[in-house]
Amino acid sequence: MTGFVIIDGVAHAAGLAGNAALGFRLGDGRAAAMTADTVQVGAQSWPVVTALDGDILWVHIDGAAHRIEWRDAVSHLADAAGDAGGDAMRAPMPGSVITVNAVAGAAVAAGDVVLIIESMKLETAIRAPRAGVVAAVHFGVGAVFDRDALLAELAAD
Amino acid sequence: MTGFEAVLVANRGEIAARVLRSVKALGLRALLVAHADDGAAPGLDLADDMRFITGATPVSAFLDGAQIIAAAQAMGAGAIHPGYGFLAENADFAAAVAAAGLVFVGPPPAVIRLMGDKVRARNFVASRGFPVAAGVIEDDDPAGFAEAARALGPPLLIKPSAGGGGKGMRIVRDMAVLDDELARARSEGLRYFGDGRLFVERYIERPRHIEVQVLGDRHGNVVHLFERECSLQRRFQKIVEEAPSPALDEGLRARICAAAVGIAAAAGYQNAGTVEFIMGGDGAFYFLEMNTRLQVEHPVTEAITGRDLVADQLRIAAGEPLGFAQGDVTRSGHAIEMRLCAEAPGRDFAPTTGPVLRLSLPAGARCDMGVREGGAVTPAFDPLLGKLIVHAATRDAALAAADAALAGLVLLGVETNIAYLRRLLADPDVVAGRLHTGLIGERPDLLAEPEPMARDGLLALGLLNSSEARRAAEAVPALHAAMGAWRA
Repeated sequence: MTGFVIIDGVAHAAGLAGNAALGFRLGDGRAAAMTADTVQVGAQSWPVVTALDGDILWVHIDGAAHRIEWRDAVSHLADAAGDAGGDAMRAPMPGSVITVNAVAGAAVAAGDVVLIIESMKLETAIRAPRAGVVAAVHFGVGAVFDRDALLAELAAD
Repeated sequence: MTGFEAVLVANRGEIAARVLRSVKALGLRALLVAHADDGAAPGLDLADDMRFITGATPVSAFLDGAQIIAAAQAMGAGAIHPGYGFLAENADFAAAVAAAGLVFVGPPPAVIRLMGDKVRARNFVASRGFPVAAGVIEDDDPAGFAEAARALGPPLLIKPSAGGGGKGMRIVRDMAVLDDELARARSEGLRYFGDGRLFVERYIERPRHIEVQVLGDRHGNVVHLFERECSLQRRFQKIVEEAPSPALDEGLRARICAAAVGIAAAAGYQNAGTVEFIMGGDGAFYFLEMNTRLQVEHPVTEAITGRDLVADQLRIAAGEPLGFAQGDVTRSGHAIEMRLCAEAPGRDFAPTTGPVLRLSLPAGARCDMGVREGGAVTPAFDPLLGKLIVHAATRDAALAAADAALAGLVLLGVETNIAYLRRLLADPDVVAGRLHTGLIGERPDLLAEPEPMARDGLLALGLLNSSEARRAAEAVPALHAAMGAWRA
């Protein structure tokens, strides 16, 4: 295993063996090869349409679109550890801030609404993941942000 | 056609393109307003002339009636087609268009005003002898409202008087929370519509949403073009619509269509409109509201009747008589529309954004698209990317065509509901036509993406496209050197 292939947000441990001259193999030994519009694993072959957006590879295969990312083992495990603390409140979608209910230093209970955001005319409450003290709110009313932006965070206990 | 030679479309996305196509097919000049942030919209290719409109936000530009009328006059438009949403059901805008000497493609302002006030519309329909659900209206007795609502008994549906599109509606089954829910509905009504007045109705459990397309002209003719069933909804918003409804036999179809024509005729309706009903399991149906505009789902009616509803709208607006009688309207086969949305079903249908890197449309379906390859989905507008419409001899054949069309549609760069729609249309209750407006909410298992059948192919693509994974195979793994992840 050399890293993870993230398919639609789900991480799959995976690695390649072999080389470009003689051909690559998956971890289970099956040959893996691709052209501009096909991918082949062992005896199985699929027609595909692909498009690259930065580090994200989009693939249409078997009648559906998928979003793929590659992560090496070190950065993937570091990301996973960073999310496990439960201090971060991240944007579930891009949008703008409508209301800020808490300021840095405020005590909140688990589930308290810290911000209300809006995207495409839909409102969503951003709630405290646990009881604690707000360390920072990074966006004010009217500010716009991308998906996964760090909106607010709790102070570490 | 008499009356006007150029039509401005005051809308964007798929409906702007769709209306422009019919304008051109009638030999009229096709005009468009657009916002600069929406530069890759398909309508821009179709318009003979266009003007950019501006506003504090892109949406506010499309709500700026005075600016749109000025653009229409500058381009020599004789009529304005509002599409749906934005100013389509704004009576003041319709009146302002007429005052500017232009033709509004829609009903008269007084009819828009009547049907736009949900309480007045409900009272009007009831007064003419058509069925409405038992209800209590706050304006009738503000002081006694909560008590009267309690007396009506559960389950209740709270609705904002000024509402629409499902915003601010709440179902109450436990009367202990009635006061809280009334307070929240009131605050939502104030926020969305600037009006906190409410009414409550007896909630019909597991209802179907059945609506009837009507057309009326200036000469007193009103006909229906049969029904559509739009019971597959998330958050009270439709995502799959079909015609005919699998729930109606010919007797019930005749009764519900006659009720719709009766309501439209009583209101002096002109142009295209839709009378919406809620239908219980016993086949009893109740007036829900009337939409005084073209509906998103109008293509399924076009598919089964063979009519071009936008062309009919334009002819009616030009003062022509309908030119056909009820008996001339026939239907054949079964049509299904699927709304393609930029959203993540697995994250409670949260909107998504991104570039449209690849777009390839399937054969065997009408594709009314609001995006094109090279464009982008931004948070500025609603998540509707476009619609696929299939038509086949039977409902089963239409479902098969729908699945094939969804599978054949390639749209890369933004998360969508396309795979979810395939799972939804394969649900045994959907296949059997056992639909109700809560069905999607009862199927959380359909929301998550299952493990892809082609997982190994995706793993191989992920690895082979990663320069880091290839290097790791070819040499000593150098994990810390992985900066640019993809092969150049």
